[in-house]
Amino acid sequence: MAMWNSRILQLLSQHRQSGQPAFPAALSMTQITSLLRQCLDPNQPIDQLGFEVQESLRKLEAQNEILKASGNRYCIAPPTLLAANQESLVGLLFRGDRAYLKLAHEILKTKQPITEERLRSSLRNFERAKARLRENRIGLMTLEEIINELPKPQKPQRFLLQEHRSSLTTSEFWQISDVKQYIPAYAEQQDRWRSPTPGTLKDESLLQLPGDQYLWFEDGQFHEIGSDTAILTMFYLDQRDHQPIRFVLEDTGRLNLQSILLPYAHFQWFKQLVERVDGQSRVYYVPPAKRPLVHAVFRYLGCDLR
Amino acid sequence: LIQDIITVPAANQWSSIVLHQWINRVGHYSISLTAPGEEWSQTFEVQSPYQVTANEVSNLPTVQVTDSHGIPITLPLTVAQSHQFWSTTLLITGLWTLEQIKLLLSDDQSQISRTVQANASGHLRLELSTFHDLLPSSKQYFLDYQRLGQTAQRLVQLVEDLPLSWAWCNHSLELTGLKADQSYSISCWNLLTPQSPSIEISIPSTTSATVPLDLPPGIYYLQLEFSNQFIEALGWWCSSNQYDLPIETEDNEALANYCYTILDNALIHEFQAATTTFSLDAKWIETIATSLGMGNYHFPDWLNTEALLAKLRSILVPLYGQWYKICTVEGKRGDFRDALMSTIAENNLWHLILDFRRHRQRDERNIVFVNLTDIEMVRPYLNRIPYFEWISRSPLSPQEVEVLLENGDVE
Repeated sequence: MAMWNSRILQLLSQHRQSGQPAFPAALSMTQITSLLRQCLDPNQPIDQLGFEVQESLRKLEAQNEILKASGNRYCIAPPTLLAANQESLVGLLFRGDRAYLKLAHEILKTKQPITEERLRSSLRNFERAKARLRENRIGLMTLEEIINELPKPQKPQRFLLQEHRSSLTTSEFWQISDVKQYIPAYAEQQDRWRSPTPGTLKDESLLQLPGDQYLWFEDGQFHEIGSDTAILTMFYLDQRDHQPIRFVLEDTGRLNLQSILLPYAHFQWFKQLVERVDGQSRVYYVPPAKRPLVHAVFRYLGCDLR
Repeated sequence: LIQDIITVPAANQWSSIVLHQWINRVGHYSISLTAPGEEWSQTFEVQSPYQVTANEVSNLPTVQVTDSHGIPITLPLTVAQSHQFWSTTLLITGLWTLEQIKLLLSDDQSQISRTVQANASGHLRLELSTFHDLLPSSKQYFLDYQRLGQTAQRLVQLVEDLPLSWAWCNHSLELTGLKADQSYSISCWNLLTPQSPSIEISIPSTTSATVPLDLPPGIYYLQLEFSNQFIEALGWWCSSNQYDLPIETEDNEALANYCYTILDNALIHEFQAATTTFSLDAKWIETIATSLGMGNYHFPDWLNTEALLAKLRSILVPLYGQWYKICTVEGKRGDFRDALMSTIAENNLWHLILDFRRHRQRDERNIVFVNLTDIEMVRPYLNRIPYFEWISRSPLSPQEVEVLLENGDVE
């Protein structure tokens, strides 16, 4: 699958707008898949290709590498360099349009091969480098700035709800068995799902039906919401009720996330900062240099990480 | 041209031939496969990955915000009415392909953000009506947009009932906070022609306007009016020259004299004498004097505001002084006068020193007369004036004044 990531980046960086080649062209999912199929040799099975490409695209989107639009269209994201912080301009990660990679090397006077995606800038001043890059339409951001661009914990927005109003009535709702309601309390995240009662079903309630279907109850109406929206809403409810999720980053750098669900984009960023601990799912090692950023991700979600 | 032939063993499965050895640079290639009775060939081109140049980037169109007809607008667009805000349509061009833009819609209390996306050509059409009902009804809405890693920029603002404010310029007046559906006018009253009617300047219906003040010479007091009803006192304004007289003075000597007493920053007695020929409405004078006293004016440097204010106040509360005799250093009477006038201006002594006269007789060349309202207040200043020798201990008696005036001994 990792192979698709770089192929997709290459593909999307090579397709340019006719007449305005400095801007990339948008390609549909079908176009991308059929172009990638040509990379496979005839012996390889193609039945998994569509699924794998979709997964790759989803991951790339979360990593700010590509942009997705309605109609399953994709294009390469604007070129952006990511700095660990304002003081460090030697390990800049290139993200987005690879057609700007050579230009980025030239501006930062790196003397590195132009295919290198981890740039060592000869310019030392962050603001000056940022201004020079900006003139050439290349962004320069710190990881903290990127984290602050992630979706904020919030209840489902009204315009989203208007489109997904459920026909379920309250009396029908109480007929459904095995419904859970997210109730912020002093407990781990997974233990905050409780059985609702007429006393707990108030305005702004997050509910889960069997089969991982989420409902949002507001203004006496049920609304169907997606799982990622539901996760962001869980953090919103934690903040509203002053019940942050508490967990511990051990001194050794070990972090256990087995009992917590993170929003997809936040989780993708988190994974870029940490290393996997072999043999244990959702247990990670946080290198000391990355700890402030990991704290930043969780602080952003309103968690109490110690 | 390099040509190589490799032999492929026969097999009933797909087999791969690694071609990196041959296809290692950009150019046109041709590959052909021959077998007994069969031939297949393919030509293709290998290009180097496309890289953008600085030149191409500098030729990219800049981000532009236009109205729905493509006419560029200056940001932020300010509207005064809620229906104008919600019916606004904007077009943003020059964005990245499918660029995601954060829109921030706020009223005075809350803010919601929504991500919108440019189309495949980097254009984004924003119809504010699609955001209607997202925020509670308010008198203030702001719509900002933010590109990733950049600061937010205001696109449209609804500001109902903006407080009225104005700023003076040398030749115009800038007004903001007008109601767009009303038409206003500015009434300009000239202090130099107090008997003439005010000049009316009408303002087009808009929320903010720059009003050119193309007025005849004068010192004007301006008011904002709506259907001839007073709304707001704007204050005093003058941009004419010290030597410009209104045209009305050409056949009116009394008016010309009156103007000189103001334009020359003359002492109050002279002004008082010049105003006796006019009847000035005390209530009106009080209004305009108060406005001047509050600092609502835009005057050129030559016009002394405090002298003008003291004169206006002297109409309301007439000032009476007594004559004193002053002796100056031999032959320096003219220099003493100049020094006295600058002392009055610098220390705002207009209400204390009302008049100045010279003795006419040759043997009294060092003698001047001043009319003072309060000798004790003036004395400390007199002592510091160059060429001052002494001042009479007591004021001249009414009989002495009468004799001097009757003999024509002062000028």
